[in-house]
Amino acid sequence: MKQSNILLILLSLILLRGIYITDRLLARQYLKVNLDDPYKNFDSVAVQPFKALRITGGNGYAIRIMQGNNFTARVMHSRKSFYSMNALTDTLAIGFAVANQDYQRPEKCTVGLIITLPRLDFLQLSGTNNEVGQFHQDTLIIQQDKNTVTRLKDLQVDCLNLQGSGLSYFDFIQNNNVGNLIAHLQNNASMDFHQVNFKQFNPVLRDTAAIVLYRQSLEMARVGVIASDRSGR
Amino acid sequence: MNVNKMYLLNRRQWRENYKVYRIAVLAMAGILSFLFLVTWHWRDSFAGDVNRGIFLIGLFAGGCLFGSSLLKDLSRPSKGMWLMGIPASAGEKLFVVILYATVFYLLTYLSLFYITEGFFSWLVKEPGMPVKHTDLLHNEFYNFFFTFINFQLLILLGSVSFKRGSLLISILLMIIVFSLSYNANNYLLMLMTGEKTIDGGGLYNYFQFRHAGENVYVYLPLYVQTIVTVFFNYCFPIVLYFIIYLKFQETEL
Repeated sequence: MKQSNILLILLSLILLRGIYITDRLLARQYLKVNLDDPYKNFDSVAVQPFKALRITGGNGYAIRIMQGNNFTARVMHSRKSFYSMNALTDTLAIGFAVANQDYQRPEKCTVGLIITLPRLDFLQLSGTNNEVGQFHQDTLIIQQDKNTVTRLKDLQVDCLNLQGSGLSYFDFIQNNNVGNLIAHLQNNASMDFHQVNFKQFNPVLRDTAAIVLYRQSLEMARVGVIASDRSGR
Repeated sequence: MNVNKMYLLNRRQWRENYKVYRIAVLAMAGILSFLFLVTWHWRDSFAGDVNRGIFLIGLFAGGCLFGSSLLKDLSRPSKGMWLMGIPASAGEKLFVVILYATVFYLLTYLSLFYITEGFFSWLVKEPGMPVKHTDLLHNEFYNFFFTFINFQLLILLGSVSFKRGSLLISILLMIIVFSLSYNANNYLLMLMTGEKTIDGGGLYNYFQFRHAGENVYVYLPLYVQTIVTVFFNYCFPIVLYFIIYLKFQETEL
């Protein structure tokens, strides 16, 4: 037999053997999967305590930031190589360089990174697709730019300060209770008041920034006359 | 290996084919422009990172056509004899061929892609919006380079293995081997794990199954992933090179 064919057969045998070995290893990994664990698709990353969080990256996978007892970061197994982290005194800077796409429904994206912490003072977001929720605290500042989309849910914050620029978007999607709501929006940033109760609202809008208010939002603010149309806006 | 001889082989390759290459470059620019135009015109139907998709289509489609053209003389005994008659060793001839199929093609294609894309972006740019360029270096996209080298080597292996229709046979074989091994691999995993809902995965990488309405992913341990990457990115192309070299030498004999 020709030398080349012997080498070709040898290579094929190595490749086949490789499939068998990797499959055996995968089967072993499969037995380790705890199906009851809600974070089974995630890997934990050790993080130092921090007060401020800065995340830059892409929007292909959503980032969930929520209140929890400990400081934890969980990254989807397959996206681990897109994750980078840099701790500076009281700030944690995270890079989550997943792909950037023009999504029409960013809320439908799979969650790729979950961060929990007992208390968050300052959150800076750039280019990411986020879900911020369940924070019960006195103050919280969120600053965002570069097409960042942030969905806010289950927040109970006395003073919430939201600052948006560069086509970014805040959406109060579910069950938010805010005492004093401060909004600084500029460029083409926007904000949607789907579900939020607030006592005081202090907006500062520049350029073509926009806020979508609903009838119930105005009722809550006890604004005198409400001109309602059929859509409820 | 004699550098002077390889330089002469390179000049021969260029002198003999530069007219065809000139037309090929124009054709490729035309095809790329057409793809940019189609995806821009119907941009609502093409969500996502379309330009990277176009980059890969052009790279692989053009690459395999070009790669297979380099050793097409071997398919005819009369022309093959002439190629064999050139006073240079098999290693020198093969090195120049592989240089053309990988490095030269890649460099030409990269410049062509960026020039065409730049021109097209300038043509359709909206006032006030920045012109976007495809970024090939982020998010590990540069891994396409290793896949491309392996693909070109497999096409060249096809050229030296099959006499007629080597390109079509090579591509067909690759598709058949890949789909067979993919399905066999899933079946093997089903047997090993007893999990009936395995619905996808990657060879030497991971598999996924469904549980309570969600996909659960099972990955190889990190050190195994590193071994697999090193094997396919570095060892596999070297072995392929040796096989092609042996085949080429055997054809000469």
